[in-house]
Amino acid sequence: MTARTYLAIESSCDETAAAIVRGREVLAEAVATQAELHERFGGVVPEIASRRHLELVDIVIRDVLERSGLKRVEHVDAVAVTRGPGLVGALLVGIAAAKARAWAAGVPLVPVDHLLGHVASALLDPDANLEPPFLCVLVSGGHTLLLDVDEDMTLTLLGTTRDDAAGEAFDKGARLLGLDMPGGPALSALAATADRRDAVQFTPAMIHHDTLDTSFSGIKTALAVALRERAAAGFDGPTDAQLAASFEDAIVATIVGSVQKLLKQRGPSSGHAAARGRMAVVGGVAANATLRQRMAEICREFDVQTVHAPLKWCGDNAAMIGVAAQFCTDQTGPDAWLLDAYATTPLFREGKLVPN
Amino acid sequence: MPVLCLDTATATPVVALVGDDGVLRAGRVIDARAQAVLGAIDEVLIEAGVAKSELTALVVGMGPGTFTGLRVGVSTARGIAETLRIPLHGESSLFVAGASHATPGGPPVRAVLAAGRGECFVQDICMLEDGALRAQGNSAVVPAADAGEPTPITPEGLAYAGYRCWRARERGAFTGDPLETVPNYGRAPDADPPRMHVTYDELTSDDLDALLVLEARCFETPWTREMYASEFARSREDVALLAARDAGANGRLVGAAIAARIGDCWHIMNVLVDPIARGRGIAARLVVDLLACTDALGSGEGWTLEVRDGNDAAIALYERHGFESVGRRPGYYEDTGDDAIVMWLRTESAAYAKEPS
Ligand SMILES: [Zn+2]
Repeated sequence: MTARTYLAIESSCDETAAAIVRGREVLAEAVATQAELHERFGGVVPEIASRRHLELVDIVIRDVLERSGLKRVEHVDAVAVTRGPGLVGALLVGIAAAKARAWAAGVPLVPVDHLLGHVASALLDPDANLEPPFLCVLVSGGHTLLLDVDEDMTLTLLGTTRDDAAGEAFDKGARLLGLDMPGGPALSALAATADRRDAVQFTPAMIHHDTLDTSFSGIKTALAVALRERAAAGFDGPTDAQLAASFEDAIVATIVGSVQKLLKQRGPSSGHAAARGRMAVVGGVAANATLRQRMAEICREFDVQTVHAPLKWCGDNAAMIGVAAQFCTDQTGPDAWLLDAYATTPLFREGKLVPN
Repeated sequence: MPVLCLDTATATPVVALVGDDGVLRAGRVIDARAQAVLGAIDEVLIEAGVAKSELTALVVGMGPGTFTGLRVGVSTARGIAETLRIPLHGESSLFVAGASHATPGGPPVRAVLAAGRGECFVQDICMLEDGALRAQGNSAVVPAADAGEPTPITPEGLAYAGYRCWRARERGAFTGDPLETVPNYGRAPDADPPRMHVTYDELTSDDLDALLVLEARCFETPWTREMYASEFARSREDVALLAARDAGANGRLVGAAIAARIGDCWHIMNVLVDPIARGRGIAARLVVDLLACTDALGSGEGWTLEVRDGNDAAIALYERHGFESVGRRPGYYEDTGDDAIVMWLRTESAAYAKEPS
């Protein structure tokens, strides 16, 4: 059986994206980022993002249909679209574009949860040939999640952040250091210039040992305190680069610490009934080089194979939505045409996300 | 062959299917949010026994109105038009609301559309004896308490305005590229609107479709394809054709300016800026460039133009560049009977090289 071909559309936050995906192959994709647009507001402004999505969504769709050689929506097997979580006004632009095309072309519609999309991005690594089941850590601007992914891609929530998401913590740290948004890459670049990474020690947050949850707000406070103390001492003390390095290391250590606990419980040597031998690392923060390296080390210790989402599919994109769609059910008929967005994922409400 | 019309600018989105005879074939008022509009479209086609492939064109209400509703309507309409490869045209939702209640030769109808934050968009719409729709005065944003109840849009009104819009665009040979249909939000988002990255270059004949759309968005009586084609056909020494584009939106045309040499002077034929791009100095820059490049071709006696009496913003702009009012042509504008003010800038007094104030 040849793999089905999907037109996938993503507009949940500040990237307007479309892709043509067949199986694990991305035939064409386009991501129009609005990051620069929102930079001057210090964050994504929903109304501005939604207006921009409408300016861009048809352009990116035209582009991928052209470049894939498919030309027409009639030539895909289904249209996949991010249903949520995200900014509802932004999501609705992509959803309307997807529904209209599915309806007009007479092909099914496949609503996809954005988080399922991120998890599926690990399946795009051409060397790993990863297929479920596996364990997954999803680290992005909005989320820090530990997940169990079973055979049919049902996600079970094992741990989450008690406060900020990892990407959010990076942004806040970067702002304290006066760096440009998006803060994660800027902070990592600064950290890489530090002559030594252990000039200061920001202790990773202590969370009660029988939970897999994480917390980042303490690290952010520690950085703020260090900056204040340095200023009080007449700017004698660690350099910005050293502070950035310590900050990055503390965030990475927090993530890796919870993964370590998870592998003790669910790694191949744990004796758990649903022990997993593979760990996927996905989401915008998964592009962080320090995290990638530390994840590989810790997984090796537990004899677990790490699969990092390919760098270009760590951030929000439509290719991952097209892959995730392959685990979801087609919708046709009247219900599909009434599809609405959701701001929060059922994963948090129910602790589980079954691909619908 | 039927035309599908939708308007999602109000709290009760409306869908209408109208035949090429102008008769409403089926319609729906949706008592739900705009997300449900595609469901209503599907029902309306089934009810009328019309296949998607039979649709000739789409008309979408472009607002002003609820931001999210507008976006859902425009995104839906574009997606359908793109996929079925049929034209998409946009009509003011104020006209659609007016058409829902006006009668030929009757008194003007005050169209009121909710603008959020306790305010409404208001515009008087008149239906002439021959059935044509005309706006009277300017649209305004007023407190909801002063505006009265929002005007319900009916399938009949949508079919009427949509059908007339489609006919007019068809006569004007508009291609109806779906990407050129842009909602009129009527106001900026709460945060500052982002700056467009505007770049300037020359108009080419490839811009013709985009120009016609820009015209339609700027003027009630737009230039036709033929009028533009004749400007493009002039010898390169006798015409200046300038474009302003939003580099951040795929080079979308947001402004244009045209001057033609007639006799021994330059006639500034047209300077237009997309309503959503106004307030960025695009018109001033276009006028400066137009004067400079026509001067390079030899300015002769100078430059002249006609501007609609009452278009104070345009008159002030030309005055800033040294133009003077020298006369008036009564009833020059056929659509409203407005006078034209004739303005002149003599070569000897040209001060265009100065930066606009
Ligand atoms: Zn994301």
